[in-house]
Amino acid sequence: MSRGAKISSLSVVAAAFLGIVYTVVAGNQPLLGLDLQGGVSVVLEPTSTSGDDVTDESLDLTVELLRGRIDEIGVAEPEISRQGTNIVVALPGVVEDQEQALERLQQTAELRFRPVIFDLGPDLSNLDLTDENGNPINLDDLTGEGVDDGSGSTDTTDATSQDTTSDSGDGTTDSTADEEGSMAGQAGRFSPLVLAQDESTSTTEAGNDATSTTSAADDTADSTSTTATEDDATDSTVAPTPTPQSTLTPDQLAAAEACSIEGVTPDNADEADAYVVLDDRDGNRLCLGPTMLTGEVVETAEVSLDFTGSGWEVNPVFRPGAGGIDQFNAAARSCYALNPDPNLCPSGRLAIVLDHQVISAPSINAETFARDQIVISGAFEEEEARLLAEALRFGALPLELQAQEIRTVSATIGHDVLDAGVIAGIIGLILVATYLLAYYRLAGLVAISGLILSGMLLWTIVAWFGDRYGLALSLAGVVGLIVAIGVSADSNIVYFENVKESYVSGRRVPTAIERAYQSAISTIVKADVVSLIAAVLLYWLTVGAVRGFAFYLGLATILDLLISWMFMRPALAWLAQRGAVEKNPRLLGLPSLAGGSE
Amino acid sequence: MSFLGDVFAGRSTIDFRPKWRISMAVSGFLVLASIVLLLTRGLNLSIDFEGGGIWEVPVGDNVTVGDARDAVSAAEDARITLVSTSNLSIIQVQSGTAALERSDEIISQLSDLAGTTRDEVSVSQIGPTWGDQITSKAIRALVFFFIAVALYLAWRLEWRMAVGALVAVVHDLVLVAGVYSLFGFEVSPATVIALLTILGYSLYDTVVVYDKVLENDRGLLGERLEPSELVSVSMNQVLMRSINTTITTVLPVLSMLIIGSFLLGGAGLRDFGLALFIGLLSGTYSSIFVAAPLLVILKERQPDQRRAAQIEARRRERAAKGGDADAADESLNGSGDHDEQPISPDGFDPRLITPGGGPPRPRKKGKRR
Repeated sequence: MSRGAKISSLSVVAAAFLGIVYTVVAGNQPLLGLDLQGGVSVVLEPTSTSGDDVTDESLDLTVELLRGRIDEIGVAEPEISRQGTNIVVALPGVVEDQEQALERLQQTAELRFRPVIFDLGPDLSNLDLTDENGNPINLDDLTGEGVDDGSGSTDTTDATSQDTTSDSGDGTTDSTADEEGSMAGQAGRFSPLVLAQDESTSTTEAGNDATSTTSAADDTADSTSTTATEDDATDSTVAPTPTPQSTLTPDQLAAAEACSIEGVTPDNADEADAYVVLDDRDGNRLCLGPTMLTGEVVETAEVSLDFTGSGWEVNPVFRPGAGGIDQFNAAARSCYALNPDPNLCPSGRLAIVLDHQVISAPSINAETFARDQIVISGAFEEEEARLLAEALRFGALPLELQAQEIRTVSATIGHDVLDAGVIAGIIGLILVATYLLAYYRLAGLVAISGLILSGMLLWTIVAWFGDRYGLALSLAGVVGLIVAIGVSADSNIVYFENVKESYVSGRRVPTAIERAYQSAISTIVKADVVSLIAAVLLYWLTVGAVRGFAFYLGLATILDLLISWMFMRPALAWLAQRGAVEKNPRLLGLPSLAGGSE
Repeated sequence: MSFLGDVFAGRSTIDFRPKWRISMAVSGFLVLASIVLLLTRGLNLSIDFEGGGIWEVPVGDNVTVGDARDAVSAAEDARITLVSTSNLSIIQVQSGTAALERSDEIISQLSDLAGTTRDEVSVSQIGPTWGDQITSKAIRALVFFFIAVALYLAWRLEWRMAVGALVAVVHDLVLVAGVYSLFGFEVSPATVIALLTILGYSLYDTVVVYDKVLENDRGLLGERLEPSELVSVSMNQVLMRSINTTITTVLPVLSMLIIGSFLLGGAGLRDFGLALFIGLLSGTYSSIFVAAPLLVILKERQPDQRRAAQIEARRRERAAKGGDADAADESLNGSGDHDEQPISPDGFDPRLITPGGGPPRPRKKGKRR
C-alpha cells in the first residue's frame, strides 16, 4: 500500500472521529424537522396586490417582517426560509393561540404614513397621562417628565437641559426650529430637493424667512451636538407642541387617551384609523395618529450619499396626481414643521410605518413638494437609508401572503415517526451489514467501516448545519439517509466485484485490488454524478419536503464519493496484507480458483 | 462447476438474447397496460394535491372508526380511517377544501374524542392550488433532470446509452405509476420523492451495466463482438453486481416499509417505502431486461463508426508496439465487416479518424490477455 493511500485513509478516519468529538463537545445536535418533533409549518405564497411580479427584494423584506411578527407571537427558534418565491415558516413546539398566529402571519403588510402626535421617549413605565385626580396632564408637562425619565441617567443630561431651557426662553419659531434641528440628528426630515442643495446641515431652514440667522446657527450647533450624543437624549429634547397650552383640544385629548399606558398595548396597532403607540427602530415609543396615506402613493425610492458625503439619504418619488403626491402634500401641510396643525400633527413629523414598526419619522420641512424632488435626509447610516428605501418601495407594491399549506404535527405523532425512522434505519443497516459479511466475508468489514465512517461524518455535518443554519432533519431527510445506506453499499459492491473479476482472470490479490480500483472508481463516479445531478436539480427546482430529501441525498452521495475515493482501496489492501487473509483469499469473499465454485 | 458458482465468479454464460425478446415484449405490454390504467383509472391523489385537510389524533385502543364518525360531525363526507400501530392508534380524518373552514370545530371534536388537548391534534391544511404548484415544479425538475443526465451520459458513455438509460427510467416510472393506479394506492408528496429516488437507482444500475459494455467494447475482450453478444457477455459479468446492489438497496427500504406499516401509521415511512420498493425492483429489472436489449437494438441499427475507428486505432497501436498479431488481425476483420455499411455523412473513412470518443484506456489494461 502506498504512503499516500495510507495517509488518505487515515485522514478520513481521523476526520470522522474528530467530527464526532467536536459535535459532542460543542453540544451540536441535529435539529429535528416539524414532522418529527411537532409544531406548525406554513407555506406562504406571496402575490403582489398590483399583479406585478414579486421581486427578490420585497420577498427578502417580507421574510424580515415575518420574523418580526413571529417575535411578537412569541415563538422560540422559528425557521423562516425562502423556497423559490414561496416563504416557509416553521414554528417548532406548541404554538399558543394558533389560529390568531396564522392569521397574523398572513396579513398584508401595508406601508402607512402616520402623523407623530408626540414622542414618548424610550421609557414608558413611569408615565401616566392623568394626575392623581384623574385629569389629563398637559402635554408639555408630560414630556417634561419624559425628559427626566428618559435621559436622567445619560451623559448628555446637561446638553439636554440647556436645550430645553433655551427653547422655553425663546419665541415660538425658534423653539420649532430647534426642535426640528434636533430631530434631524435622529429621525431625518422630508425636504424638497431644491432646498436641500444648500451646503450646511441646517439647509432646510435656509429658504425659510421666518427663521432668524441666530436660530439657524443654534440649529446647526444643536444638530451637530445631537448627532454626537445618544439618541435617547435627543429624543427627549423633542418638545411635542410648539405653543404652550393649558388645555387640550378634543383631538389631542383623544390622542392622549389613546397613547396612555392602557392604549400602548399592540392590540390596536393594526388599525389604520386609530391612534396607536409604536416603537421606532431605536426603541422609542411614538404616539401616532390615524393613517394619513398609504404606501400606494409611492412610486419608487432610491438611496444616495448626502451632500456632506459621509451620510446617506433617501429620495422617494411619489406617483403623480390625486393617487400620489397630492395626498402627500395634504399630509405635508398638516405636518409642516414650522406651522404644524396642532390637532392633526402637533410634532411636525410624519412617521413611515411598515408592519408595526416605525421605519423613520422625519419632520416635514416644506408645505408643498414636487413628486420627484424630495429628499429624506438625516445623516443616515447606509443600512438605515437602504431599509427606508426598501420599505418605501415595498409599500408601493405590497405583497399579499396566502397560506398554501399549513401543517400542524402533534409532538406524540412526530416522535412516533422519528422512532420508526430510526428503528428502520438501524434494522436496515444491520441487514445490509449481515449480507455484506455473509457474501464478501472480511471484505464486508471494509464496506461496513465505510458505512460507519460516513455515518459519523453525516452526523457531524447534519448536527453542524442544524446548529449553525437551522437546517432541520425532516422525515424526507431521514428517508434520504436510510436510502443512502444502500448507495454506499453499492459502491463497495461495484469495487469488490471488480476485484473478484480481476482475481479470477489470474491476478494476485494485491494486484487485483489495485487494478480493479481504476475501473471501479470510474463507474462509481459516473453513477454518483448522476445522483448528484438529481440532488442539485431537485434542490433548486422543487419546494417543500422534496428539497429536504434532495439535500441529504446530495450530502450522502458526496460522502460516498469521499469514502470510495480515499478509504475503500487502502482499507481493502491493508486487510489483504494480514497473514490469514494472504494465505486464504476466500476470506475476502473471492472464489477459489481451482474448483471455481463456492 | 455449479451455475451459482459461475454467477458468483462472474463466469456465467447465460445467453440473454432469447430472454430479452421475451422481456421486451413483457415490458412493452406492461407499459401499455400502465398507460391504459393511468388514462382510465387515474391515480388516487392525496389531499396534498387536491387541496383539503387531514386531521390526525392519537386515541386509546377502544376508539373505533364508527365512534370517530359520530364524534366528528363537523366534517361531512370525510374519509375517516383508524391506523393502528404497536403502541399507538391514530384516527385520521381527510376531507376536501370545504371542511377547512370548520377546522377549528373538527379539532375540538377530535380532541374531545381522544380525551386530549388540542395540541395533540395534527392538522394539515392544503390550499387548492398548492398541489398544482408542487406537481408542476416536480415535473419541471424532472425534465431538467432528464436533459442533464442525457447530456452527462452521452458525454461519459455514448449517446445511445443515454437514450437507453432514459427509456429504462421512464419505463420504471410508468410501471410504478401503473401499480399505484391498479391497486389504488394513494399518491402523496412522499411518493413523488420516492419516485425521484428511483430515477437515481435505476440509473445507477444501468450505468454499471453500460460502463461494463463500454469497457468490453474498447477491446478488453480482445476480439470484436456483435452488439448483442457484447452486451450479453457484459451482462453476465455484472450480473452478480446488479443482484448485490439491488439486495443491499432493497434491504433498508424493506425494513422501512415493514416498520412503517406495522410500527407506525399515517403517511410517513410507509408511503416512501412502498414506492421505493416497487421502483427498485422495477429498476433492477429494467437495467437488465430493458436498458441492455435497448442498447443492442440501438447499436445494431446504427453504423458504429467511432467504434470501428477505435478498434482500428488500437490495432495500429498494438502493431506499432509489436503486440499480438492475431488480435490485430481479428480486429481488422471486425472493422472490415463494417466497411460495407454506409460511412459517416461527412464521408470520412472511419479508419482515419483518431479515437475521439475518449482517451484510450491505459496500456496496462491491454496487457490483461
